[in-house]
Amino acid sequence: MKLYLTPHACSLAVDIVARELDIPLALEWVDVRAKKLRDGSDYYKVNPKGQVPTLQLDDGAFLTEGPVIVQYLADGKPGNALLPAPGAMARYRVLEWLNFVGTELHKGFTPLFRPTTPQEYREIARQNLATRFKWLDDVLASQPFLTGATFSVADAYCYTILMWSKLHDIDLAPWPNLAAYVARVAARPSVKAAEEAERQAKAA
Amino acid sequence: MKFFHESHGCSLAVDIVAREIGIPLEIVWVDMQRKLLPDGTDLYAINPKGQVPSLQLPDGQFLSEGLAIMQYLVDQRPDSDLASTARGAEKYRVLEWMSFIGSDLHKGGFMPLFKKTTPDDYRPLARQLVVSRMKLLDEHLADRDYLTGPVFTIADAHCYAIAMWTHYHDIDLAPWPNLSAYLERIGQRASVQAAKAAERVEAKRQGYEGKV
Repeated sequence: MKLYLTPHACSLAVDIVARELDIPLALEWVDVRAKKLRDGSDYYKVNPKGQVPTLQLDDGAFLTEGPVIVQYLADGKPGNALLPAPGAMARYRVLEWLNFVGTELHKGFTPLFRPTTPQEYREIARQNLATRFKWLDDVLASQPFLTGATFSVADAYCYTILMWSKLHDIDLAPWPNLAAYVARVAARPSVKAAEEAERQAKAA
Repeated sequence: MKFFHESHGCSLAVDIVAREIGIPLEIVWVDMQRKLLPDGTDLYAINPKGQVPSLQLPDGQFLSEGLAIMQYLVDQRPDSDLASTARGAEKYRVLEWMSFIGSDLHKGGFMPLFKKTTPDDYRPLARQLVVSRMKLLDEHLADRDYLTGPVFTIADAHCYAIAMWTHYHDIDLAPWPNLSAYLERIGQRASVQAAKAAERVEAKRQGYEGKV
């Protein structure tokens, strides 16, 4: 399978999950601003929404939306610790967090990335994020990961989005449990390897 | 199970799904302006994020986030038509649409239009995001009845609930005939009519008449 991704985009979560699950993926780096692949071809042909990540499946079909791709990958390895099987309540807890990260955190950051967002709304977007960070900090006061003791696909996604705080000079110091969580996830071999792949792609 | 619902909220999708698969839910209407339950309890006591929907499971736990709740419900009724699309490879196509609707259309598009604090200079940008996504849906629906093909899925329930918000923001659906026909098609389903009738009764009780 081939993963279309961009350094520092939400696609990092998919790469982390694939490495956690030992699923080898070919990495295809996308210039997501120009909507081009490295050979100059049009990325809209891969993903009509022009977003990363996209996963090309073994049958050639393309699957988009990061939170869905991580479910697809984890479900392909039954018995994994990252996403329990359908029917188990623990699965819906992971899905609950995945959705929170995708809607409240990820989409909370999106206006900060868009050059056309007016300054007044940037302040509101930052305040919304601070509210979410406070909630995460409260949850993480008593447990190492979002759903409890175990690293899940939701943590891969949450970490990826939280790293954007650096790009927007948001200091996590007011939320010490959240800052410790980021450091805990960053220490995982899967995360180090995925971030190293991003660095190499940027250098190339 | 108790279902914490808001008239004309995204929680409509959950009510439609429950009715489609025949899972009876006890609706508890939430006053989202004041974040209060009907008995005066603070909404934050049952959902620390202060959002709807929330579902109270038979063991008393609360599950939040519409996408998670809808998947939980269809997984309880593996033999239902709706759940037939919740298995196998097709499942991820259904989820793909739900992720797009939840993140790009609901949060990225409509949410800033609902917030009173959103400055006027950001509103045209948010509207443009909604419009571009409506156009994408319209193009996709040119040659199929529902988002993933001939069968109504939880993604369609979700899309319908969110797309109804165009009425609130005076976004005319006329430029998107495929999308309009799709919403009309879904609006005729018995589950949708029953869920919307329940909403209208509650909207009237709370003293606001929805346009939807």
